[in-house]
Amino acid sequence: MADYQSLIQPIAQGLLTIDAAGDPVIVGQGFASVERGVNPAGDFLVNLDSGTIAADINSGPVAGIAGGGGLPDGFVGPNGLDPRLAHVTLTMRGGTGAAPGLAPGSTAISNLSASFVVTPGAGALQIAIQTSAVPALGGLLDPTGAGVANGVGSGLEIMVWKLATPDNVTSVQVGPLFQPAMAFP
Amino acid sequence: MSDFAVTQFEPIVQGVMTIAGGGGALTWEGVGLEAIERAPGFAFGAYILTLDEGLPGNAGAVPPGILPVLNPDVRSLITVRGPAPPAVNPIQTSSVLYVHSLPGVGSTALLIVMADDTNTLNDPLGFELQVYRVFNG
Repeated sequence: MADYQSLIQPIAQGLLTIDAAGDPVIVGQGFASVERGVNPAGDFLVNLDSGTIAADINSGPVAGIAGGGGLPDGFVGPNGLDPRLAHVTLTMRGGTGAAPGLAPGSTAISNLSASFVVTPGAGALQIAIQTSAVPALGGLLDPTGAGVANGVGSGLEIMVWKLATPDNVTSVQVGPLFQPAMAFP
Repeated sequence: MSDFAVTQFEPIVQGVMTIAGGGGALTWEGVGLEAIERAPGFAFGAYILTLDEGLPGNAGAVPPGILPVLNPDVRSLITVRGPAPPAVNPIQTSSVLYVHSLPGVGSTALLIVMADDTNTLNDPLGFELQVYRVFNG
C-alpha cells in the first residue's frame, strides 16, 4: 500500500561561499561553523549547531545506539542526526561563465557529494561536502572564488532534512543459492 | 542553542520544465512562474524563469541583492529528468542564479544553466524545479 505521507523536517540550510582570505564561510541556520577538509579546495567539513534537548525535536535516535543513548526517542542531546534518516540537498549557484561558450550562470562543478561524520554516542555532528569538476576541468574545486564569483560558481546552497519516519525496504537476492523456490529437497 | 526544527522554508516555486528536442519549445507545468524563455543568445541549456508577481507584503519574494544575487535567503532544488532507458542523460552540470534584482522588490527571475560532459550548453528532456524562501539567513 502506498503511503504518500512521508514527513520531512528542515534541519539546517545555508549558503557556502569563500571569503576574500580564501576561507570557507557559511551563512544560514543550523550550522555552527565550516572548515576545510584534508584537500586544499572543494573539500569542506560543516559542523551542525550544538543543540539542546528542548529544541531537538525530531532529530531522531542516535545511530547504532540502542535506546538512543538513554534519551527518549525523538530527542538527541546535545546534538546529532541519525544519518539513516537525514538528507542533504546541494545546488550550485552559477558563476561568471568564464569558460568559452558558456553562459553566465553556468558552473564547472559536476559532482556534489555529502556524507555524515558520526560521533559514537552522539550521532552525526558534522557533514563532509565535496565539490568537484571532471578531472579535465580541475577536479576538486571551490564552489566560488575568494570573495567573488568566478567561472566555477558563486556558492553552494545546502539544505539538510530529517525524515520523520522510516519505511525501509531491502532488495531481494534472487539466485539459485537464495531463491527458496529453486531449492530441491 | 540549536535551531533544529525552527528552520523554516517557504516553497515559492515548484513544477516541471519540459524541453522539446533540437532547441525546441519550453513548457512549464507547475506554480510560481509567469514566464519562461531561453536566455538571449543561447540556443541550448540556459533558461530565464520569471517569478509570479507577488502581492503587497508577499513574504515569499527573493530578497534584493547585488548581481549575481548572493542573498542567502533562497534555495533551489534542480533534478534533471532523464530520457527513457537505455539512453543516458547528457547533462553533467546544473546551476542557478537569481537575477533581475530590483531595489525594494528583489530578484524577479532565475537563470538556470545546464551543460553536458563536454562542458557545452545542452538541453535535458526536462527538469524538476523547486524554489524555497528561507528566513533569517
